[in-house]
Parts: sequence; C-alpha cells; structure tokens
Amino acid sequence: MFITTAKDQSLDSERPRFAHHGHLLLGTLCSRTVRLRRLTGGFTLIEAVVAVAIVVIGFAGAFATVVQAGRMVSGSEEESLVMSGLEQRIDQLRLLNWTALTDGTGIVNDVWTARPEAVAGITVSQETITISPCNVAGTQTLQATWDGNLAPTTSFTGGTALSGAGAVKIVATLTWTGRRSGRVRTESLVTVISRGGISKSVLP
Amino acid sequence: MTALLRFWISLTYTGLNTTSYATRQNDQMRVLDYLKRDIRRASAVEIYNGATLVTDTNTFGGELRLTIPDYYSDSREEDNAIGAKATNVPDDSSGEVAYGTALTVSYSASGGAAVRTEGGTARTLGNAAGVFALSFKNETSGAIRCRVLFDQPMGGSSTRKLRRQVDTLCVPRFEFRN
Repeated sequence: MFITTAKDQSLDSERPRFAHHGHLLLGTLCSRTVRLRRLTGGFTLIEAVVAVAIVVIGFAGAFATVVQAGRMVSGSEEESLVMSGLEQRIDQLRLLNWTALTDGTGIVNDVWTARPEAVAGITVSQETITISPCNVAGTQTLQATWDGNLAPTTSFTGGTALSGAGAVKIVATLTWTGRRSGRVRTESLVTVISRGGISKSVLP
Repeated sequence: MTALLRFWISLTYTGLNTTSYATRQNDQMRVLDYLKRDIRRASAVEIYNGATLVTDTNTFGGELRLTIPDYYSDSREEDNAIGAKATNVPDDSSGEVAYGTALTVSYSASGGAAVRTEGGTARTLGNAAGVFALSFKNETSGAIRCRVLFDQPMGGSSTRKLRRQVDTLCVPRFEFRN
C-alpha cells in the first residue's frame, strides 16, 4: 500500500544508532510508520469508502431529480389530456338538443357512452356533470355521475323543470388516478350553454 | 468505475429522453389546439384519403381540409404581433353571410412533421423529429375524430420509442344545436 520514496530512505539512514536497542527499536518502527503515512501519496480504505459514498450520494440525488422530472412530465401530460377530454365533453353536450341536455337523457345515452378518447390509458374513477340554470330562479339543478364501471346516474334538486331555463351553467369534472404518482386528481371545466345558441338565447 | 460510467450514461439518456418526450408532447397538444380552433370555426369540413373524399364514418383519412370564413384582413405573420389588422365586413348580398374570400386550410403529416397549410403556405406545427402522423375520421354525431401520433426513436436505445397517440373529438360550430 505504501510507497517508499528516496526521501524515506534517507530518513532511515539518519538513525542507525537506534537499531540495536530493544524498546527503542519498537518506538523507532512506530515513528517510521507514522512518517511513512504522512509522506506517501496513497489512500486508506476508509478514505476510499468515504469518497465512493459521496459519489453515490451525488448520483442518487441526480437520479432522484430525473425521476421527479419524469413524474412531473407525466403529471403534466395527464393534465393536458384530461383537459382535452373535458373540452370534448362540452362539445358533445352542445350537440344535444335542449330537452336531452336538460333532462339528463342525452348525457347518459349519447355523451357517456365511453370515456373521452383523449384519456385512453388513464384510470378514470369518476365523471360528473352538473347543470344549473343561469337565468331562472327556483329551477332544478341536474347532477349526473358516472363512477368507475358502474352505470351513470342522474338526480335533480327540487324546483321547476330545468328545460325552462334560457341558458345553463355546465360544470364537467373528471377524477382520475395519476399513473406514476398514484395520487387521486380532479379537474373541472365550466361553460355556459344557451338555448339555440348565443344568438338565439332569450336572456333577461 | 465501469458501473458508475454506465449509470451516468443511462442517467444522461433518461434526462434527454424526458426532455424530448415533453417537447413532443407540447408539439402534439399544440397541433390539437390548432385543430380544435379551426374545426370549430370552419364552415365546411372534408376528409381526404389520398385524393379520395371520405364520406363514411369508418374510414380514416390522412388529410383534413377546412373552409374557414376570412374574418380578418390580416397579412401579419402569425407569430409577429407588430402590424395592423382589420375585420372583413360581412357581405350578405348573395343571400348568405360571407367574410371576404373564404380560406382553405388543410392539415396533414409531411416527412414526419405535422403541417398546417393556409392559402398554399405551409407551416410546421409539430417538429419533423417527432415523426408525427395525423389521421381523421367522421363520427356519426357530426364530430370529427382527430388522431395525432408521434413515434420517435428513444435516445440510447435502438428498439424503444417515445410514442403517444391522442384521439379527440372536435365539433364544427355548425353542428352545435345549442
């Protein structure tokens, strides 16, 4: 492990008088070892282990950063796909006639026939659509829910028929489980749909 | 030491591939945003499979052609906000409302890039390195199914690819009932 240099050898030659004196000899050997350690350029095992540990910790930090970056990219991807899916839902709702939109039959029979195309590969646990009146007080609010693989359900709060409203506020919500994070996440999109389109609506 | 070197190389490729995937994903979402905007405001939508017009609801076509009213008399570059623009005054003398000369916009993939062509001028929306593929299909509901796919070789691997396909339904405004 240790390399003897020319300087070390010259040190040896400086102490010939201690060579034949018992305990002094042991003291001399210890002294030589200490001096050799100080003067040679190698690493001890502990130094090497500590150095490797520092490098490993550095690599582990870099690895964790890359993994975290990948997780964030995945989360951002899911977010954009879910928003795309919700936009599709709103467009599908605009394709319904007013009766089918406001009594819930269109949501169950035409819109919720499958999960939005954009969220293929994402585990969707729930979709909800809430439709409330924009301009008529005391009108029903429709709450539609589609949980996992169960059949969609609709329910109304009390009040006059929602179809009597000239415009409705729609809140579409999608809940899913993150592919890499495993976290349950929810995103919503809100819009207003008026009967017959904006140009035909009869708003106060 | 070899193990550390291999680990470092793998880490570098992972970082590069993560960045590349995020870039392609952004390209893909931009293409979809353009498609949604243009389809919604179009007055006519046609899907072509080569030179053949697709009229059924089962066949995918590789080109989408849109006729869009020219609402603005705007000669600026799309990404240059400096300059003047004016709205085209609607004309109903022919019995229907018209805004200037209608624009013809088409979407297709060319050499792996997602390309939008307006009035003969092609602009790349998704980088060619992404190896993009676009396909379109009529839905019975009146919506247009847009499929945007990128399939890019993964750095550091000869067999694996960065691949993502997104389908979404876009609806022209003239199909809306409400």
